[in-house]
Amino acid sequence: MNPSKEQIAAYADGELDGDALREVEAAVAADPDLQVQVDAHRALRARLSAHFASVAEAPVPERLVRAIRGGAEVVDFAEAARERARPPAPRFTWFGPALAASLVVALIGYGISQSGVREYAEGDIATALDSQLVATQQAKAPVRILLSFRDEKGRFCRGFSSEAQSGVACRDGRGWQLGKVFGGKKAQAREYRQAGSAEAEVLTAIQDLARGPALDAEGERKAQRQGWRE
Amino acid sequence: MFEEGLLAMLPRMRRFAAGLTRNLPEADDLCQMTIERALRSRAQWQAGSRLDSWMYRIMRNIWIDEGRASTRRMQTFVDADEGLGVGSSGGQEASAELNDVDRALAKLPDEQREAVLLVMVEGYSYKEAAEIVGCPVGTLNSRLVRGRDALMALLGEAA
Repeated sequence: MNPSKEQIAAYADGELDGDALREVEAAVAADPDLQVQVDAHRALRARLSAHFASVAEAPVPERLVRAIRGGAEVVDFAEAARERARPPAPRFTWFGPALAASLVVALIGYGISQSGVREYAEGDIATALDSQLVATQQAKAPVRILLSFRDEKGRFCRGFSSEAQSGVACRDGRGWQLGKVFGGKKAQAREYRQAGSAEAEVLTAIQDLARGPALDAEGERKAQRQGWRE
Repeated sequence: MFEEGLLAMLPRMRRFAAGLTRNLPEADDLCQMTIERALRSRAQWQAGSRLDSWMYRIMRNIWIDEGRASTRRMQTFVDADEGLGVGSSGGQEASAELNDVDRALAKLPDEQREAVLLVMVEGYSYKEAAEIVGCPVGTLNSRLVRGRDALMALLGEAA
């Protein structure tokens, strides 16, 4: 047998078994040149392992531990907003493709009370706030939920975006109380502003309101099961 | 549990990131992006499947698909004093050798470098490494051999 380079490497790495192993083993035993190659593979592996050992043994930076324990930090909202405001939006923002579908054109009901003080979300927006999860919502949903979080009172709050209006709403005993509200996508299009900027404004607003990290998919599901109430 | 799993594998994640980026501050930025994406998409992780492979796949995809420009941008926020090569804790002689390995790795095409790192540093089997990279085992094997040949030539370990 005349083993290929791939077979020699696989043999040196302990990847072979059965007949393949026996054949290569016999060939290596019979040919000192092959044995030299096997040894070189193993020496290289040892050298690479040693090279990177110091990284794995070094103390882990605190910010990475925080990133895991605290979810993403508040500062990420601002970063996400900045990313969002850039025309060809880089994709590793907080929300990834969830935010990308900002040019959806769909006619929807206004969703927010037009009379008197616009205090509580109604209609499509209220429905979306109650029922849509960031993880599972349709890319083309007329009202998109940007993210969910808790404010300083411990209320569940959600950032949303639609044709008519974008903003932040927090759930209290009556319903989804509207906090900051910005124009919808339509208004922006008229003003030749970029489609993502209302969402960036929402995210910036959230930065001031949020206490702690945004809810992850599991956190959202749980909050929804309990009706977005404590 | 999920967070605990991530914490436990942080040192290994940094090692793989350091291999991909060959720069510790950038490696930590890559780790942070990987953590953030993993937390966001944790619903996609199948409990019971290997969390480490899943994390490595995320990290590798960020690095290959969109990471380079982004990490470089993020790096401007990192203290320049930290911008040392990997494994700078050793003495003069050790550092010199470490730099040889770094330089040699830097010359490999991405696909060969990641194959070498996953198998020879991280200790994955060919099959596991191929799943992380998303290529057939045979392809992984041949990238690995080409990467190794290049490294051995560069490092003077060829027979």
